[in-house]
Amino acid sequence: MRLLTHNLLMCNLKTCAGQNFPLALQANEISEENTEFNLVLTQKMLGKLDWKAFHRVADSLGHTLPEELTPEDQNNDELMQRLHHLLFNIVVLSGTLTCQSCGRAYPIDKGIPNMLLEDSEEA
Amino acid sequence: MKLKQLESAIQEICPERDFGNTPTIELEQYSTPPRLAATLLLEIQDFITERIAFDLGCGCGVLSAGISVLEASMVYCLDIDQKCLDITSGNLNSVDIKAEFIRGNVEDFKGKDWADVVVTNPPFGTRKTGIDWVFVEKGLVLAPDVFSFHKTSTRKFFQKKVKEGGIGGEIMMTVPFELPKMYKIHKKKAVNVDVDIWHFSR
Repeated sequence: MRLLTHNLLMCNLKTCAGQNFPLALQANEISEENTEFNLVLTQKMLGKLDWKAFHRVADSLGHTLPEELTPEDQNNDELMQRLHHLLFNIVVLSGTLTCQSCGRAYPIDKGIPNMLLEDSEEA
Repeated sequence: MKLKQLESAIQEICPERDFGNTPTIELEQYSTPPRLAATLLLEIQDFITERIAFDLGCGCGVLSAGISVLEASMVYCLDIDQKCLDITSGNLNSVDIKAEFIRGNVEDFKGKDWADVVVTNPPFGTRKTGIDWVFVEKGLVLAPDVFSFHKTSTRKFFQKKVKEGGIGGEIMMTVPFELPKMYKIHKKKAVNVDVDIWHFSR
């Protein structure tokens, strides 16, 4: 799971609707890929991203980012390269995503987050 | 790229398309024939190349393989079945694509506006009525355009859903889809069913 994808996932329990995001990330094993810098893709995903959630998860992994992203930042090549690296090259191989509302934990195994609910949990 | 080229590329990336020989009938696991996948993907190449694609119910990853060949910037593969994710991630390992895998049930999966396009060959809804529509609905949460395969016999149902939902819905083509004998309950060796390829948009 790339760090980018953390920003997409939320607690799937219906009872958490409205307070199901972001999930807290506990990363046990991380690998770093070396994909080529893609400015267009980075800018596009920044447009979709919940910056606060990304800021927080990056911080939890020891990467300090600006509190807010200004339009000028989008032209800051150095920052864009850094964001590309964080979003696309940091891959969580194992760990847990935990809902901060209900405490439901979603495991990440072999790089794949498991968002499946148990039969008893489905609405 | 020519149809034949894309078809062979998909076959090369996805040599294993039989769900590890243990498909699950309740999930209606049928692989998309590579030629059919290639036919659709070439038609919608502008929605794929340098875009972010989502393959809902990726199965053995036939559509994702084609999406990779057409150089999407990224592909998300979601499936309920761990075996499918293992097969697809193994297959896509050989290609240069940013691929992300998520294990999830499309019915429960909470998504948001994230991708440019969803390409999906959902269950036909034979075992679980309405599941085909659930894939389309979820797809339209994730991306503005959804391309999907549905049995022609369900056309009226989808036309009604399009009208009720006030969404765009066009049938791009109708094609024969070969369903091989994969399950014991099947008596015939293989049957062809007519399938509509729909383009839904919000």
